Amino acid sequence: MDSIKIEETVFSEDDVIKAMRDLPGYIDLTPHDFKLLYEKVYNLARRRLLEEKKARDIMTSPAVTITGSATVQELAALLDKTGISGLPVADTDGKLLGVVSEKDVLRAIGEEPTAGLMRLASRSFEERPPDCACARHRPVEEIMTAPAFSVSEEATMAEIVRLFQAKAINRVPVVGMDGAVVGIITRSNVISAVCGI
Amino acid sequence: MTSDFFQKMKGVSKAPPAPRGSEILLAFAGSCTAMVIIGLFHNFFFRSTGGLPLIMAPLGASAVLVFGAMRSPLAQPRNVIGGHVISALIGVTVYQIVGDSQLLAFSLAVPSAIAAMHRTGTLHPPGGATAFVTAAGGASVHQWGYWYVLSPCLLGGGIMILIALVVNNLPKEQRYPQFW
Repeated sequence: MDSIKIEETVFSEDDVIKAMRDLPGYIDLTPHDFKLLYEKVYNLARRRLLEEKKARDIMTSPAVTITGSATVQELAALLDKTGISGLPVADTDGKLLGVVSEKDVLRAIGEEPTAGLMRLASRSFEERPPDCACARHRPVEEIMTAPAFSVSEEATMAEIVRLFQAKAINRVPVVGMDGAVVGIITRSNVISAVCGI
Repeated sequence: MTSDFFQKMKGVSKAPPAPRGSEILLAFAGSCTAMVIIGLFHNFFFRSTGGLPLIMAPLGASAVLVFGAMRSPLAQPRNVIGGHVISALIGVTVYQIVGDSQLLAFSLAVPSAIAAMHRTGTLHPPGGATAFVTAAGGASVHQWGYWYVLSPCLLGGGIMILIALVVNNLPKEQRYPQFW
């Protein structure tokens, strides 16, 4: 794993001196040595975060899931109620079948998956509402993405972040050995883990 | 490359900031207290018994660290006591071996003291002075042999630490020691 170099833009020697003035007493350390030390400590901590933190440490558990036989209308209501943008689709044993999101609902009603709220509002104003009649009773398993990407509980933070970047996804279900959904990791989980919040 | 060798001498850092006026005042007061008390003990008890000194120049150097830079790893009790004791042991021993050859004595004693202090985690710059004094400090030091390790090294250092434990902890935001 690469180490990060602390550039001049991150903090300068004068920042160090200013901080040292703030501590009582004479600090027997040169600002240069402090920067060297800081860089090493920072990279150790970063390595610990990226390699030692596992999916099970950062996931939201239990995850909200939906069955494959639920309808698109029920899906939309669930997304509305929970305020989430997507969720895993699981069978009655909790095993992961796929992932479904707002984009899939938009496609189902004949909209582009990138359409925003204002597109739907505009269409309402123009009295060209989206075609919901054919979509409402379709089962979720027809519109979901399957098979879905997933990670095990042992996946490292580094692997998860790489997966998000490489596949341009916003969430990934965490599955146990038996394929059952045990949790979910979203970009928020990653941010919280990195910022320590 | 030789140019790299000389380039290194240009320096690479700014100096850390000097302490505040109030901290300098405390350093003055603390070290003054320590010097006076050690000096008085020396006068009353040790001189009068025709005895061992309790003062030595290296203790002045220790006061710089203990009261002037109390956060430094070099100023901690382990370093003060350990540094002086180890350095004195080495200095006296070197004198026993080489006798009055001063140059040979201090050239051997000081580096040995540095190495020994490093190995034992007791590096204390005044220890180098103690090694010098005990190896090549003249008859007034040599006459005491290994007694010099007890006083002024162990006792002088010990009294200074005790005074520092009180004085250095008086300000709320300061603490001493950082470690034992």
